[in-house]
Amino acid sequence: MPALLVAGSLFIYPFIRLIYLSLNHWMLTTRQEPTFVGFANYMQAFTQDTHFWTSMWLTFYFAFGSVAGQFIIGFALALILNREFKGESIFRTFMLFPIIATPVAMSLVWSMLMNPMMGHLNYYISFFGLGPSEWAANRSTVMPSLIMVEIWHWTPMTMLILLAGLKSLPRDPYEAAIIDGASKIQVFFKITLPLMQPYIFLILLLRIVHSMKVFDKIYVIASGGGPNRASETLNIMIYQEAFRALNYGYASTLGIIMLVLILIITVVLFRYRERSWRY
Amino acid sequence: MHRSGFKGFVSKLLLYLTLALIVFIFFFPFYWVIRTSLMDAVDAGSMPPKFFFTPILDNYRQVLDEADFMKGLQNSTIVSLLTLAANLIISLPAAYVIARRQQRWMMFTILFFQMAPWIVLLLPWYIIFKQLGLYDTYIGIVLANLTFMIPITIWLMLGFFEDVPVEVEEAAWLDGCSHLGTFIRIVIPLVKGGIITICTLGFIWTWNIFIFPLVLCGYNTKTLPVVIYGFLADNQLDFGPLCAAAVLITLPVVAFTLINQKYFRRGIALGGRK
Repeated sequence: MPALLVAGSLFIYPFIRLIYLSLNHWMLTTRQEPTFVGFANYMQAFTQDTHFWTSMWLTFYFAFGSVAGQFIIGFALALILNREFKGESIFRTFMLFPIIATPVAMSLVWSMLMNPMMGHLNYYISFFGLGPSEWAANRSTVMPSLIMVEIWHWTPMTMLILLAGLKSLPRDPYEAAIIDGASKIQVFFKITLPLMQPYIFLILLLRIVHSMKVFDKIYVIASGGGPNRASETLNIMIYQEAFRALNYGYASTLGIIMLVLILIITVVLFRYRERSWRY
Repeated sequence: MHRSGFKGFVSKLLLYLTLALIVFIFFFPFYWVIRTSLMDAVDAGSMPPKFFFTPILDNYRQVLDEADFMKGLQNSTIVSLLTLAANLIISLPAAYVIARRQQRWMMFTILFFQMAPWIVLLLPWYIIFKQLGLYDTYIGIVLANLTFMIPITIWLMLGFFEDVPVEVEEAAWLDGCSHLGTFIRIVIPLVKGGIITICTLGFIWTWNIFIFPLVLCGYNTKTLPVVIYGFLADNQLDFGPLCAAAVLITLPVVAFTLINQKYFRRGIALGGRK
């Protein structure tokens, strides 16, 4: 099984190396050899580094904010579009564009659109009486701006998957409900939601894990977690520590913490899949 | 269920209005980038935005004249093709074996692979690749891409292989086909759809990925996303050429996916099944 060999050597060995690194103090800037410091890095993250908790909060803020947006908009659209109409295939083709376009290129486009001086977004929102915003250039608006782009990027995906789910639902309960005279709202909450539950749960978890790992957008639009670290999620923080500050030991520690976080989510997901999704 | 003519009309109208709005919102950045890429600096900088202008191709010429861009294009192509080929050679047999044996822990490992944050692996890779001399080589970046591609390939191919009836293989063995022969001649043609799906997803991934080449590629092998990011750093406010570059980099992946749309959709659908 050569696949396992490749995967193993590219995953497991680096992983062991990572754990080892996380227990060391190794900063390239000080020309000091790696020294074993035990759990000092972990202590630093949890107790001393104030930005660690900020970045944890930013990571979850970004993940839950964007996933909530994607999900609500995506589900609403899926419900509206869950019927036959002319031009369906053209419409679906259009919806693929945000998903497949190169993220860096699209982040570039968004950063130009959101440019406080020359960007066109400020011009367009002025029609709705909204003032010029500084978007990603301001500490207080940078996160919502990034979440907006993330929602733009992934809502089509959520919508397409939920739509596929809706189309696969059995017809019988709906017919029975109509005969019994249930209202549309009742039908939605009593039939559609429970039947869609497996889809919903899995999509939410997958999207949340994915959003926690977003890199390109933040790196390009908010120039690597700026302004003044106001959008530095855990993922970006690891990158900055590792490849800007060259603080390998501490970056590894942060990496392990992130890995554990995601492992927990994966276990939950897998348990759930086992229980409800035998095929 | 019969609807009265008027009510049906209103509901249709609402539907199409919604559709128009959705397409407008999700397509706006694409419209904007194409339009700006065809403008000269004066038109692009005008406020309020211009809707009518004389299109020019100067921006594209400027980008294509850039040696960096051509090199990035070449690198991206090489890396994508190498990754796709290596991925098929490695993953198909593995997926096949796993599909025939049903190993639950394997599924979990694969799922976790897919979920793992890449940034976490990049640091040890970077250190190891530097030591092994793989930094800034095609092999290095292809290996990194493979680490992502192999799990997702196995994951998707499992479904396809499980659909191949064992009887077909047994018949082939009885006729004197070797295991490898059976696999290549009988099983592979049966899962062609899956292979195209994987290649479509794989191409999108390797073409679009930014963080791997950003860390693992130096001057010689950097792919288009890294190159275009460099453009941004160089000329922040020269929108025209930046837009042209953005269009050029997105074009191949969009074209490729639209050609294989059916397979890409299936990939998404399978992703949802997870």
